[in-house]
Amino acid sequence: MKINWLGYRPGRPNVVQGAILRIVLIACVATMILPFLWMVSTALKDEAAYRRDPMGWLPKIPPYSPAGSLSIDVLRASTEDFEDVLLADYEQPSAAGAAHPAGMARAGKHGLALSYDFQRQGQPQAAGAGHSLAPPADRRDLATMLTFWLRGDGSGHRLRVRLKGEGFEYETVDPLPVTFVGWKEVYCFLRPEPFDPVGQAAIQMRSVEGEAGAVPVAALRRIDFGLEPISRAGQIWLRLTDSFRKAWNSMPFGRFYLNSLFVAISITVGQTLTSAMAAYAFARLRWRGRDKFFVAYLATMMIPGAVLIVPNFLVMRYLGWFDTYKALILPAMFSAYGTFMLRQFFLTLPRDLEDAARIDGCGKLRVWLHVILPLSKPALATLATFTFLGSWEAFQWPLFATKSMHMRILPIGLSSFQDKFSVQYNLLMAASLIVMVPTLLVFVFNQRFFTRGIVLSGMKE
Amino acid sequence: MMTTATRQPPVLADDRDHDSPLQRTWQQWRDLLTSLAFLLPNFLGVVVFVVFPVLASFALAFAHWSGTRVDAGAIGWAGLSNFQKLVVDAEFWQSFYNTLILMLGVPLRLFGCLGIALLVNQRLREVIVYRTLFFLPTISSAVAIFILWQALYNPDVGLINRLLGGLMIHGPNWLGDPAWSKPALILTGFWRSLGGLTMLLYLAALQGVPESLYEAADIDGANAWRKFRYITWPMLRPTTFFVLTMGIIHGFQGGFQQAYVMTRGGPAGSTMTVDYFIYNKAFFTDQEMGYASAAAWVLFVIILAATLLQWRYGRGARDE
Repeated sequence: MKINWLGYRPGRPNVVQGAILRIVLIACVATMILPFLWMVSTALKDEAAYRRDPMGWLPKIPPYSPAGSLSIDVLRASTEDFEDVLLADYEQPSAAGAAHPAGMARAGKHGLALSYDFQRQGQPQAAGAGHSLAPPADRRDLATMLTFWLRGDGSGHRLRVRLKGEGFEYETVDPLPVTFVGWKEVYCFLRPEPFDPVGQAAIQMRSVEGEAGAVPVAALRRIDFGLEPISRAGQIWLRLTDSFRKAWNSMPFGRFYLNSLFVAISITVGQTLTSAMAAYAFARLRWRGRDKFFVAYLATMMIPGAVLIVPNFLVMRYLGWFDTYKALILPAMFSAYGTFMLRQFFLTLPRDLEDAARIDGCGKLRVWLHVILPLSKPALATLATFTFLGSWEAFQWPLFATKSMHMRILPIGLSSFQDKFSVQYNLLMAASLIVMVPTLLVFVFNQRFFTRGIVLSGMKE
Repeated sequence: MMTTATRQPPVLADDRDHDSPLQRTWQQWRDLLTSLAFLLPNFLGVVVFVVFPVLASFALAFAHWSGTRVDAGAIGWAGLSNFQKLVVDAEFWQSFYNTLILMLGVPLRLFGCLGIALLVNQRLREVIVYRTLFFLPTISSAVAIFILWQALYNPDVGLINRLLGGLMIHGPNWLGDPAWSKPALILTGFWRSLGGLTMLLYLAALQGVPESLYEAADIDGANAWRKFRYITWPMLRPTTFFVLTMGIIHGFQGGFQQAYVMTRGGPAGSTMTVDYFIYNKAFFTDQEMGYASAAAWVLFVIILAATLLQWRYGRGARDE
């Protein structure tokens, strides 16, 4: 029962050896995988589950509640000048002493009740409650947003709001799932473009009568709330994906993806193409001083990035390219590394085919295009892969070369997300997974290709 | 005049005997122009984005400049004062010390990767599954991994202190304690690189060791440890040399991304590496482009010296 732990074992291990090996391997793999499992389990918690038990492995999902009650309180209109006008401040006696958002002084008060029982009628029906509004008649400002406090019950039922006034009527575009427990401020946007509510509960409103946009505060007349039921499966799905939706909605990850793709593809195409051309000049064309020049070219590979970033940053700024795609792409596109790698590969290609092509009357360009490049597909693919990966993971340069959110690439965007939600680990893990998983899938399905490429070139990190 | 060289079948453009001096010059010129055309796109890029910045950075190292204005008043000749300031800058030396300590992760990673390579080199049917799983941290987005580990290190809700708590150990405030922040970063780097490039290089090298050597050792009755010590380890020396060299080069100029995401160089500057120091001076705190450039050049010289030293004393391993 001897395992050759410390060297290459030509034969297959026997059953006992195999079992011991597997135990050791599985123990190591488990240690590697444990952090990922924690990541997924944390990302699957919605805010309530995370608050209740930030350390637990499985998100706890409360039983399905077809009947219950929500409360609404402190309804306000926000004007264009970011002033708040109080529209309603419901004061009803409270059954339970729920903590009130507006402070200790109001404890024991309970807002407008929104009770529902979707089972009683047999058919699901929207429960509703409405309230007449009487805003101060002298307010001439325009309201762009309504805010109110909502005491959620975590049921996942979806809230609809309808707002009526003199000559206008607004209705909810996408009902808000009430997945949270306890009081929370809800924003109803009357403008077509909502501003970033930073992971808060938000309802986008749409005009069904009258002009879209801001409405006069004084003309507000009535607000109605309605609830729509949700199935048990839908409720579970909503809760498990809550963090992902919040993360996705609080930062333009779609834009980050497009930026990353565009930048990485541009750099890859540019780098591979220009390197293949230069490598051909170094490997096959003859000119005086070629090899000395090549050594000088190689020497540029030793220069650390820290030396280059400061001047490149200044150049970008004076060219007016700071915070543009040009700044992200161009400085990252040229390196001696690709030229070096492809030159070494071109040198190994047999000359016979080129000679034959020359005899058939091909010029240098056509030899390059029709003989060298097709023969070098593996080397080109390896270089392209590494360049793409390098650009996809690039951090320093894209961090310093851009400023605005819409120019960020994925790693920088994720880093900004971290700045914004520094300790909300459920959101952070969800955002990290959003960034990580698509890339990971591509890798896992092409693993053989990548590992072969890494071992073949063996040079680049 | 000859239209193209290729019209004469047995004679090839590159090694043709030229008939007349005129043809010879024309041919040489044409070759040169073609070469230039092939070279130019990449060459121009390298000149504009590598060579020029290097020269500019060198010049900047002797200047005071905030980088905000180009007029004469904004740029000042500094002479050697940037370097003089650097020599007595405690923050710089602290960052240098931090970088050296963080580089202890290089040999750690090396042995870890070798261990994993030895394990996944065994002929098990499902070994590709283990390789893929070990590979996951390497191919995951680095920022995501660092954010994940920052969460794992959280003293209150993090997984690590919870596991330690299960063993009745009161875990430290990993990233909040200057004594623990560097080990924490090293551990994260270790975990992330375990199944990565180094492991694959070792795996490839292991599979290149001739089996006959082990068979001969078996006949001599060598035990597993002696086979490793006298066959495997010497046969892996070129790989080890390469991994160490690259590890040291990357170690000196690395660490910014990890420290930026996990600790912002803190606590108390305990994870600020040299390149973090440079970016800090240039972009975050001071906007001193000249001072940052001077520090970058000092870093360059240190890397160069370390590489040359290693090249000199690692000759045996390199030439094998």
